[in-house]
This record gives sequence, structure tokens and C-alpha cells, in this order.
Amino acid sequence: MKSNFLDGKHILLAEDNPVNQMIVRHILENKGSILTIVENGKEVIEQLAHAQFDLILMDVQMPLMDGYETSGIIRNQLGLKIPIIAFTAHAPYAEHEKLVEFGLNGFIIKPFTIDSLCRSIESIMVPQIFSV
Amino acid sequence: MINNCLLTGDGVEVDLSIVNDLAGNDNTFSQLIVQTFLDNSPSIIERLKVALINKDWEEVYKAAHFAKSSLSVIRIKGLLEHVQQLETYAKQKTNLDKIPGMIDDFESKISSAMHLLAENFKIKANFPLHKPQ
Repeated sequence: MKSNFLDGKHILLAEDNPVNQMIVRHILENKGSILTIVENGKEVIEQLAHAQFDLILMDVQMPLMDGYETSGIIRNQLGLKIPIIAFTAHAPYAEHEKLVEFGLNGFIIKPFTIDSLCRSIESIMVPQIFSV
Repeated sequence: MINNCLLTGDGVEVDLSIVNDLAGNDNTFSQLIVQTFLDNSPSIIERLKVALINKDWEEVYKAAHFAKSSLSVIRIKGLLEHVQQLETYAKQKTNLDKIPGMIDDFESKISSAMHLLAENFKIKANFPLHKPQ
């Protein structure tokens, strides 16, 4: 795993559970990322209107607007190609079709470890970093 | 590193192996995870109780789903499965007569676990000192 690929990256975390928010914040800020945390899909769309991010980490089931609907808006209405990784409690085979349909780039199964979180992000972000 | 990943007492068993995996030797991090869990659990209990009074099954479903995230990190024996069942009943609006008892059981178990965690992590409790019968 590249040790510094998270350093300086602006990451938007959409997660309504404070325990998960705190865990992700602690892990990613310790690796040098700059985190913005919101609690639902509507706030994701609001953030994207005035800020730029390298990655969105988004819980699938959030209040007001869930992760799938939010991702659909980001792809189809805003036309943004920013990588989006979903947090899901479900097995990937149960979610895979929906992940593809709504334009999500990957998933992280909860509960996650530091390693599984970082590897999932790396698998999405590192090819983009070197594909310029 | 948490010395003992399995806490027992007050009729509950709390498995902290996920916290241990996440925090390793970072005691501040494990303390923070537990503190955040303790800070937020009373509001989940309250949310479920209010939803029950209002017979708002959609809100019971949402609160149970919300609780699952925390309980997948702080593992209280049997409670994750219990909350999943509660979530299913509320979502499908089936077995509604079982929901009040399930919310009582949830409150009792999570309260015991909260006291156990507060005691072991030497965290000052900012929640009601309810001792389950």
C-alpha cells in the first residue's frame, strides 16, 4: 500500500453515525487527509456546489437522501466524475448491481478495519493519481 | 491495546475486539470510540421510546438501523441481532406487538453495557444511572 496517497486529499464523508464519523476522521486525518463531514445526501450536494473534493465516502443508508440517490444526482445531474465509495453493511453481491447502476466506484463493508478502509480508497484513488 | 477485549457484568458481555483492531496501541483512540458510543447511545434509546409512543414504525426502523452501526463496532452480545430483528419488524410492520418488549430489552442491555464501559474506561457517565433489574 502506498503510504502517502491520502496526504493532503480533500475527502467528503457522508455518514450520520457519530461513532463511524469519529473513527473515519481519526484514521484519515492521521494520514494527512482533510475531512469534511456531512450527515445526509442533501448536504453532500450542497457541499459539491461550493467546494472541490478528491473523494466522497458515503454511507448507503442516510436520512433525507440515501447514498444511491445522492450518487445518481452527482453523476446524472451534476455530471461529476469524482470517485464515490459506499459504506455498506450488506454483502457486496447483494448491492453490486445498485452500486454500478448509480455510478458508485466501490464499497467498504462495515465494520471496517484501518487496512480495509485504506486499501479500498487506494484501489480507487491511486490509479487516478498516476493516470494524468 | 485494550488488555481485556471481553467485558462482562450486569448480565451483558461487551466484545471490544473491533475497537482493538481499529485502535491497536492507541489508547486515546479506543477511549474516543467508547466515549463517542456513550455520548450517543442515550439519544438512540430516547428516539426509539418516542417513536414507540407515537407508533411511528418508520422512525423505529430508522433508529434501529442507526443503532446497528454503533453496535457493529461495540459488540454487545446478542444486541446487534436483536436490533436487526427490531429493524425488520418495524420496516415490514410485522410482529408490532413484540416491539415494545424489544425496545425495553434494548434499553436494559445497552444501559448495562454503557455502565460497564464507563467503569472500565474510567469515563464519567453523563447518562442516567439506570440499573436494569
